[in-house]
Amino acid sequence: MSNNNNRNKEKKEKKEKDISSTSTSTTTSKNDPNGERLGFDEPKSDLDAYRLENKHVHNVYNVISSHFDSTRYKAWPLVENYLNSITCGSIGVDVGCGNGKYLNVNKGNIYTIGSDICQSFSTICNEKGLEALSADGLYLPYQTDTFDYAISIAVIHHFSTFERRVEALKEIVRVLKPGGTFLVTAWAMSQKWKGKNYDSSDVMVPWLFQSKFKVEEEKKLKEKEEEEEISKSGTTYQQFHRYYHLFCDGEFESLFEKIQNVDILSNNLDHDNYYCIIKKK
Amino acid sequence: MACTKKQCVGRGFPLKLEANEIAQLSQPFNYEFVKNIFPKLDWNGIQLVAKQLNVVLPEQGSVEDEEFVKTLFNLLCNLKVINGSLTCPSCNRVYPIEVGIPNMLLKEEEIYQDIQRMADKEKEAQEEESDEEEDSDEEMEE
Repeated sequence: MSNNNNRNKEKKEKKEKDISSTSTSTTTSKNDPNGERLGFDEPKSDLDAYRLENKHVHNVYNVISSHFDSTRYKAWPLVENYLNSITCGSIGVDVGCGNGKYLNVNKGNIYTIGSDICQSFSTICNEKGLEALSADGLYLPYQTDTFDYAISIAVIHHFSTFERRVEALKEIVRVLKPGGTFLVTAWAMSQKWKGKNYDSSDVMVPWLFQSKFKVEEEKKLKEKEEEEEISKSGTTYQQFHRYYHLFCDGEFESLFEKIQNVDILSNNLDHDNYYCIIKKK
Repeated sequence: MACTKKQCVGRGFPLKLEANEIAQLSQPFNYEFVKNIFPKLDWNGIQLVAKQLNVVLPEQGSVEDEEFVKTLFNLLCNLKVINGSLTCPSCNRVYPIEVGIPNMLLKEEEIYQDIQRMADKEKEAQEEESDEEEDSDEEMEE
């Protein structure tokens, strides 16, 4: 069946789902004593969802990217092992590659092309000599049935509706060759390892931004209303809120159920992240 | 690379490359990599890109030919377009390449106009379907 057909069908189902999803996840708390969450309006349409993600994911990362980069240098062994198991001469994609810490794994043997919707991340990757371009995960600039493998690490939880999460996975599966595999991870709602607990699946997670990472351009940021200044042990921070949809047990299964041509190879929890490896039929 | 627009899936390829500024990188040569990647390449696409980057490739290549393998490796891994553009052969959308990064992002208006257009098409198709059966497959085909 063609991609268009699938998409159109999804659209039809969408209205019904929109209603059900709002009724199950409206428990976003407005005032959290720990400052962990900030109330936000549930997206009512795809455009609203796009705008929420733009404001609370893309724009935030565009500002905090260099600070984020300085804190995210260790590769996660789960992802490293997966990439090291890929055959020499394979080409793959890293969708939502962030600062590109996985683009270099198994370098010389496999070729991973990164993409991120945040242009400041593709710039960071480029400065490190890594191959990355700016692209929306829902609209990948690749042909169907092209890549041997794909990864998308801690990205899918930034899509704010069920339909958009399905579409994002579908888009990656589309560019994968039949027989190709794909590793996807997302934050879990229960974070025992980190000792955190979230009681709602849709949350705003703060990022304390150290002003020293500010560059001229970022100072001009329009979204001033979201910033709060906080002082902690002598350093001034700006607080930004990033949107997350935290995953529950069985959630990857229900997403992949909507995609016909995949088999789930493994599905588990590792360090407060759900991960799933699938194979395209 | 292919066009990101949904209506171009299956048609918007290969994007037409225009290179204004090219950088020469120096990644270490890996024969195994070229040997394994060679059968997977879209040879027509590679030829087009090679022409744009002034790289001379034979009509047909062989991984036994050392000179060819080196040229191909250089093309694939060591030539980077710093400034230029990519144009969709189907819808003519131009994607700029600046400081070495292709910008494949669509604007909000583009995304939602396309979604609207596809919804309209679907509506039309449904109406047609109710008139005469099995005749509206054409625009869905990719």
